[in-house]
Amino acid sequence: MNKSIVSFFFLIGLIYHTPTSLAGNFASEIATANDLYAKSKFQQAADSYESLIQRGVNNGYLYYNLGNTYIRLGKIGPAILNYIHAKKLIPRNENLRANLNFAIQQTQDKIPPPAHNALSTFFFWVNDLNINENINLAIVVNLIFWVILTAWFYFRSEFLRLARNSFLALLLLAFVSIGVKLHLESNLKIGVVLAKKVDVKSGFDLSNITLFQLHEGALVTITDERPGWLEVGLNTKQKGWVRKNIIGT
Amino acid sequence: MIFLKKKSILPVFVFWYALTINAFGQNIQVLATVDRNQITLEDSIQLSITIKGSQNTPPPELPSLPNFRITSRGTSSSTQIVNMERSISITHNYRLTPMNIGQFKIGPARIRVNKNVYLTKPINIFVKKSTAPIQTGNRPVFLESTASKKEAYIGEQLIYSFKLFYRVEAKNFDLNMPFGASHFQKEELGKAKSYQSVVNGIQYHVQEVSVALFPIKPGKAEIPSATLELDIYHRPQNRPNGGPFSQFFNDPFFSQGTRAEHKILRTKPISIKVLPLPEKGKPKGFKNIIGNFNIIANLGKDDLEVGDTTTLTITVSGNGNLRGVSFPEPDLKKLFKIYPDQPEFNQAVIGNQITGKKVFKFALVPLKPGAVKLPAFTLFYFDPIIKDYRKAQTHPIEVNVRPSSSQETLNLVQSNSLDNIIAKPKIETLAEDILPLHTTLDDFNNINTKINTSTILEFTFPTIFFLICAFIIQQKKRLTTDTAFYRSQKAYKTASQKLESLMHSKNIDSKGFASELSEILREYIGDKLNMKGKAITAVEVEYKLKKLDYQTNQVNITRNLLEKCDTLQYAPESFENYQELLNETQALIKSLEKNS
Repeated sequence: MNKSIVSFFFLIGLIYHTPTSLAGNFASEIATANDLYAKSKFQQAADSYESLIQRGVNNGYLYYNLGNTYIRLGKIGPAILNYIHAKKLIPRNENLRANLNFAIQQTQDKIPPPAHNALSTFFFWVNDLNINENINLAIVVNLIFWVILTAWFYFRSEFLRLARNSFLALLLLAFVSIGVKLHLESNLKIGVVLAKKVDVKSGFDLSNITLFQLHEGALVTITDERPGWLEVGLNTKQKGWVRKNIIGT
Repeated sequence: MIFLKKKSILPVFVFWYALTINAFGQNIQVLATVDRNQITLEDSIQLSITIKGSQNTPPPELPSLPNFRITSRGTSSSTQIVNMERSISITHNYRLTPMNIGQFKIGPARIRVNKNVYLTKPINIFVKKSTAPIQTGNRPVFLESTASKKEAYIGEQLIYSFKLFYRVEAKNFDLNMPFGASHFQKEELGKAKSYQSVVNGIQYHVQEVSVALFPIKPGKAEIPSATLELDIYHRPQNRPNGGPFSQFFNDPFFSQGTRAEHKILRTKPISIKVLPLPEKGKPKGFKNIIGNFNIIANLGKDDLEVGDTTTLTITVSGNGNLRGVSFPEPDLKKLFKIYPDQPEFNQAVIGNQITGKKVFKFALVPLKPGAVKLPAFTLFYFDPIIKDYRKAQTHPIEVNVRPSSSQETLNLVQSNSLDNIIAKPKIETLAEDILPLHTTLDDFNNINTKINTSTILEFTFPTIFFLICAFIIQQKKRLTTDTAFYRSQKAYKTASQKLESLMHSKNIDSKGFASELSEILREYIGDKLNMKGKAITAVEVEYKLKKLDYQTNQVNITRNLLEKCDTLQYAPESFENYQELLNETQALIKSLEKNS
């Protein structure tokens, strides 16, 4: 009996233990890159951070540090692009928010990040959680709901009935939140202008007329794609086509 | 018809299956190659990592290459079918741009396929200095960067120019022009200029980019080297020239003999000595304004009534960075109610010099009649040309305030609220900067999106846990409320215990044994069928079991066994093999239990 209980909890432990690849492998390289930054060797620091990203490391603080390094190098476009990448992973980081605002202020167009739409305004908490945090929240609420349901099945008290109903509502909300987050991440694609100046054309060909111009670091919403071209918009009225290779996504 | 369709699909499926099996069965091979291993600082290397035998692998994990800048150049995949043998491969391409000279080793790249790790072989690379002469003459393309001064005061404007000279076709420019953000503030000086220039008798196209830099701290400052990556096109010299379509066919797209070369050019870093502003003669109220400026004050109306409004405009203009210029409200609180406006700031570039204009506006509403002299506005600045502090000042303005012609008593008084009495100190922002790097190494975990089998398990496990618990709870509850269920659940256990007890009982005669055995069997059946077991007859048992869809074989055995027990009770000498009867009863109860 004791053995089976131990096995049961071991199984739970296995299921709920999320293996994370620790910084161990990259710690020394990140420390070296941070030192290079501290010694004002910004290009070398940027190369080290970029190298880690090229090798598949995905971390919000890494993108944040790279964004800072590009700011020091005077490359506002790549800086904003990396801050936007970081925002997906560490959305509540205050330093990131401040530095992104600072970087946007350095651009010529000073375009703020796209405003929240009705969906993201209604599910406001989704913007402050990354996708993994949304999933973890749903897992925790799911676990609590089923434990309360089990307890209610045995004791049938009014308190447990209320708790059961509340957590059922929370669970449904958590599932919908994951759906909303996935929807927003796949549909709301933000791009950053990386070239000094970009002509936004009326069609996906250089012979089309230039509707307006954007400058390095301008934030745009990508609404469509054709081979070699992206349709970008600032709002519902100002839309046009730009070459794909000068927009960072 | 369906059969025919199936028949036609079958060979296709077999073919596909054969190919797939071949593909999956292939050994994975990984290979790292470079297009050359001896380069100069101006060149780049194409590193290709080819994975043969699979196309669904994650990107290779490149080794640490601090001496190179890595740029992904995309992937290419290939599928070949030769003699029914399918071979697939994917190649990941990278451009490695050398940062230093020396001999370097590109360590093994890791490729993870189906939980196996494959390593490529290391490659040695030798990076040497540019082989081209240092002199600019005769080179197809070169860079030049200059600073207008090698020595400047804090806040003084410097012009940093970057020039690209080229006399061959060049495209795909990627300019990285750092300016030393920790030592300077930068202001753009407009668009890049394009012109022709002759160097050592050779005509070059020149692209020039200039920025204004303002030193922010004293000491030795360095403008880092700028880097330009570009593709230059070398054409064959003997190509016929002329003809109406020559320009069209000279495009690199049509030029078969045109050779493109990727180059990385660097300028030398520039050292600047930044001097602190002299302490001697520094006026009180000096706010680090460097340049040469004028200041003018204008008043909308100089003759007005109490309660009228007029605008006091202070305009500061000149050469230099005017962003930091500010003025406090004039000290006229007893005489005027003052409404300061947001300053207007305009900046223009004339030649290579930043010229600016900042306009401050104050709306004034007189509170008392009389002749008033508005105080002069003073701006202290440091003039780097004469290397001394200077003062720009407006002329005092006289205003005549007449009593109000309106009969209505004006109630214009200065607000005396608590906020004004305890005025919050205004803290002037001198500069803005980014917040520092994140240095907590434990936070640098590699984060992957968490939608996998483990996530599904984490979601489904509590449901399974609930179902198991609910079943157990339901069973327990039913045992306490449903007598028939309780009897049915306990029947087998009770019968087994009694049979065990009977097996070990001694000094029992055949009559007693048969009676006991018969009772155990009847009680078991009675518990199972929720009846009084002791009074039940063999015929009733047969009827009930048949009704409940027990197997005919089980029903017959039960009836025979009960009859045998009855016979044994009334004719005890006819049977002596107790053990056989006991085993038969045990087997029957087990069989009935399985069927229940």
